[in-house]
Amino acid sequence: MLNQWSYFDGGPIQSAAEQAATVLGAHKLLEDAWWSLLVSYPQDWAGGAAQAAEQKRSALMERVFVAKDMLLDLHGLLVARTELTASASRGHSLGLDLAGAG
Amino acid sequence: MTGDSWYWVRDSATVVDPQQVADAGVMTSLAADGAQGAALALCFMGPNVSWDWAWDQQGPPATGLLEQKEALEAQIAQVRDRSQQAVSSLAVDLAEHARWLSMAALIYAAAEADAMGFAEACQRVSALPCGLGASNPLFGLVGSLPSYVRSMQAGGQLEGGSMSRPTSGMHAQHQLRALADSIFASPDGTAAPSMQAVSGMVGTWWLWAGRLVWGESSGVVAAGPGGSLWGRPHGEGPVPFISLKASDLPSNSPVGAALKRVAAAGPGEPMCMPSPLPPKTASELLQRLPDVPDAAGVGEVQILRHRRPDGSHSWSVAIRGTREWLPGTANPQDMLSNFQEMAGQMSDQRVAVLAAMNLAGIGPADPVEFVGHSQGGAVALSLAASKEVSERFCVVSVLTAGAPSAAVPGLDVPVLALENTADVVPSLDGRAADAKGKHLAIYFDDQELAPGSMYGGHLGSAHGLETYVAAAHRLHGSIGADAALQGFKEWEQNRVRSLGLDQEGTVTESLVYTSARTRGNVSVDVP
Repeated sequence: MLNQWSYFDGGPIQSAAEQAATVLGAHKLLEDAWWSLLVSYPQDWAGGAAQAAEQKRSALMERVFVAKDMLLDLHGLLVARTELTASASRGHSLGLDLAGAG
Repeated sequence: MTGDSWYWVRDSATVVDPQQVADAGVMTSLAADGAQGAALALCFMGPNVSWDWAWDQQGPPATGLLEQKEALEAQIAQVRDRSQQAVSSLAVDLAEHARWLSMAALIYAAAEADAMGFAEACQRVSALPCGLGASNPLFGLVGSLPSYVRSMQAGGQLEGGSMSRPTSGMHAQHQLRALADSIFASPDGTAAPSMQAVSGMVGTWWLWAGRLVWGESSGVVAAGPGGSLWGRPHGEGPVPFISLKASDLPSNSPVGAALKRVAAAGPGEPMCMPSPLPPKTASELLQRLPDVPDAAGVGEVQILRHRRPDGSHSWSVAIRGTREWLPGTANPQDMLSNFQEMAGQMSDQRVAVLAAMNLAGIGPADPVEFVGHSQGGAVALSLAASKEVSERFCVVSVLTAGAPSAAVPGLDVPVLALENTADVVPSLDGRAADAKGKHLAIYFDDQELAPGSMYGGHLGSAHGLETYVAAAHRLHGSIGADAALQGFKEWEQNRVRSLGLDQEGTVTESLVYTSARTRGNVSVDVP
């Protein structure tokens, strides 16, 4: 595999498959964060500050949810990218013109 | 910091278990750590995806494949950038919310005057600087005493040592309470009585120290628009005041000498305000406190007279903080008055304010409010709670900034107490502002306030009036954005309505009164 851990513009370059795994790991962290927020509700708290805290918690949970969705989208794209590479590799080795076939 | 994460509101509707709030802070902190880890992982991905293609060995891929690849990578870059941004800002906001909850837990634990609960909350919210010597708070206080005393004079903020921003006020509170409890057992388990006893004891020491240095205090003379009065605390009843005329008094008599002193220092006539517009918000009202020029050796009280279009008046009694840091000086705005107030005794400064209110001609039906910073806030609350004032005046509102207020019972009038969590002065009564009666307490962290402050990002000391003005200004600006500020909004609206400040054409003018203690035997007859 070419360029897998070479450095480009000062940063590490990962393969799409490795990036997909990283994104899944980040997704798992956000999943845990969402559960932590879910149980961070003080039952015996009422008043203006409690209301504000609950609004904030709900908004943060919603943002975690949205961020998780974004990571799933990213993961899907990276998987597609991996598959494209694999297809290209297979096609070349079989002598197929994928562009023409597509 | 988001707009609603630098202050904490406590009102009579607040019901809370501080430990649950501390736990919520811990769980949110875990969530923040997770999001931070996710943000780091995404950041580590780098901006580029390698093309896993053995180009050198197999030659370039087909043209269509390259286009497909480029389109896909553009999409990946777009989603990746958006994800990185979203997760990074999420991690920051989660950490802020965790800190907000942790501070809320400490504030509530402090307000409940529960030393064990406070220590436990401190242990749980380890993300905050919580160096309280919980196992031996008395030792903590003794160790911090020199810096504590210095902080009182320098601006009410403890730096270094075991106590630091933003929780130094709450730490000082518990250490003082521990000291009080070690001297006087608190019979009902609350902090205030033992702190009152300590304050009374210290006040008595300082009274005697003042006597030795300056002679015995025998009352207070106040002068300004409307004449001059002499009065002194007289048992449990109302303060008897005697009208004075300088021409009738020998200048070498105790009252004559004091009168000469205050008359020379005061303007005597109503002053023009820099702006004749009435102060309509809490910050505008607090900004009026420094309008009184400093006069050496005498106390000052400013009374704002709001002349409404129909000819009626409403009033704002503005009381500044401590001016002298020695006990029993000629100026009643000194440390002796501080200890008398905290001990629940009639202070000479209270007498001075009452004299000024009498001289100003505040009628029994005229709406009147009290506003005070530091000692002024404590005096304002004591006056609003006193039988003498409630029987003679129509008090409609109280505003305190950086003042100890727990020793005063719940009032029927709306009270707004502003406390900086880094300010040790409000902690002098051993507990946080309570939510009794119509008492609304708003705590804030001045560290988070500074960047957006009206002072261009620079604030003074933790106890400085400008810090409280800036906080009130920002709270007013946040009213529409946060349901937690509903009580603050109602307090401001009630004040403006009760004083009639919303009436077009209302004009404000300033009446300044100066005051001084009298020394030695006073020959005037007390009725």
